[in-house]
Amino acid sequence: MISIAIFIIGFIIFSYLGLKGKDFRAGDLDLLHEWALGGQRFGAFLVWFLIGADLFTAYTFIAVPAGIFAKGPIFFFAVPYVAIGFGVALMVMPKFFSVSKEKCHITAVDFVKDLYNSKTLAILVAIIGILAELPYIALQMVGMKVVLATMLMQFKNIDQNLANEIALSLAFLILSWFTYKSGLRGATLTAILKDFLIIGTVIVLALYIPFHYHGFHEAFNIKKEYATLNPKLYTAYISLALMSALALFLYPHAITGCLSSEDVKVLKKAVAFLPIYGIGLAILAMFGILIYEVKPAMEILNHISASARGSFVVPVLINSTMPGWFSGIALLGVFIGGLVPASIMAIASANLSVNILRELNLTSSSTETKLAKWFSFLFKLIPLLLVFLVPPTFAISFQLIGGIIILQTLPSVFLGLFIKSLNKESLIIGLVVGVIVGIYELEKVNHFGFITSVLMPSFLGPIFIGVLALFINLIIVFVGSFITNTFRNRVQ
Amino acid sequence: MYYILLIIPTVVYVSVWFYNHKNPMFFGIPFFYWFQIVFLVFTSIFYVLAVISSKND
Repeated sequence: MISIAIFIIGFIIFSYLGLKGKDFRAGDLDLLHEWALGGQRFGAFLVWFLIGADLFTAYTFIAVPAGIFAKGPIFFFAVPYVAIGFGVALMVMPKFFSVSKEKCHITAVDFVKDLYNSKTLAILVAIIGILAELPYIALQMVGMKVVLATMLMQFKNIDQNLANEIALSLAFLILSWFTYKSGLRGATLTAILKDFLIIGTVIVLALYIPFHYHGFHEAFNIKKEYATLNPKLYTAYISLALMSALALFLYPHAITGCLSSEDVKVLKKAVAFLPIYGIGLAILAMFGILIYEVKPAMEILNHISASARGSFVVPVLINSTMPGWFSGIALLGVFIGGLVPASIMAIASANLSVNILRELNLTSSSTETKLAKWFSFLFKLIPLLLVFLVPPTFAISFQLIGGIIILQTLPSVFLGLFIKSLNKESLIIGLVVGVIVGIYELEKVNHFGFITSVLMPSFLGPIFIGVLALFINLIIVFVGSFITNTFRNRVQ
Repeated sequence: MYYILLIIPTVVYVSVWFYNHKNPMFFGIPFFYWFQIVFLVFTSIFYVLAVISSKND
């Protein structure tokens, strides 16, 4: 009960911060400015912290531990994904940053439109960006729902299925209200609070549980098959890590985050240190195995239906090992860890959709804000439906479905930085075919039902569907550009 | 040099067979897991070296 009381008090403070974000704006900006002036080291540290904050979402503390809990080492691909992702960022983002800064681009869509002078391609990239954010938002809602459901479990005499559905609706209402009221500025301010809560929780849990239970020995005794990765899954592990890494900075919210830094040197320095931030993600992932040796936590998990069990790993582990007051704070951290990113993603998608309407001359500046707010509501309603469709333990699939389609914008957004002679028609066809192939394969391996797998068989072994879709996309782009370029040369 | 330093951690992580072992264990954690966690720190070191090397260009 104490945990619920602390959670509610904490959430009121958090909401206050979020709603007052607008008023704090002037002072806050001054503060940031002062910090940046205080010395370049502090500047890089702040940027490091702010981009790193994107890393701690429901993906990190719900989806990854759930995957490890249910399937074992294959889901540890999240660690190389983070490590490689920031390497990709260091290869691509400095160039992207300079070009965008020079021409005052705000989104990847602006960049694509300027580079290829094609409305169709720009609108397509925007639509794919929105579609890819939707399952990501759904994943955040799963995280919020799981926290609320964990707290409701204390009441033994209520119907847990009903409680779960109420929890999900509550999560949805709170998210909509928060986004509507506070906007992006409130989200940015609360993102810092969120990260302090989460980092604190991870450190306390990582120090307390393994020492209390004398290390991981017992857990790996219970789950002997989790000690190493089945060699048959090497191709799956590698392809999941590589493709997720390539997709990381293609997401609309991530690109905007990067472009907001002041200076390319500060950006590079900050990103170089970001893999260290990933240690928190790795520790949370290990909790998916550690929980097997924590008997009180396992007893609670056994009461939850098998398809939902995994996503409860971290909240249940917190609730069953920590004193009430600490659980309240830690669960609040996990809850707003889903809420804040979901809000940021919904706003990013809403802004992109207003961009599309502007391209089509369907909107005037007086209606834009209203429209954006409506869109951001819509972009939470669709994920809500997705949450009902997919079993929660496969919450990580949400992020991977988005990953498959967002990858298809890679040729348009990133390749254009290095290769000048790409042709816009080929990029458009490649993008469309890549998305169709990706979705078709996804449906095929899941027998046109619940999405539980994102792997497909290949001659090498099981691989992530995104590989095939991107490969076909790239072939179309290169062959198409080569043919049109030689044809044009002949005509001339 | 910049790109070579950036690609090294990727090459290491992609070589799964190289670290996919149970032993040596650390605190009851198989090598497969703790190696990848520790290598996050080395990944950052490689990236920082890359950023430093690119300043001289």
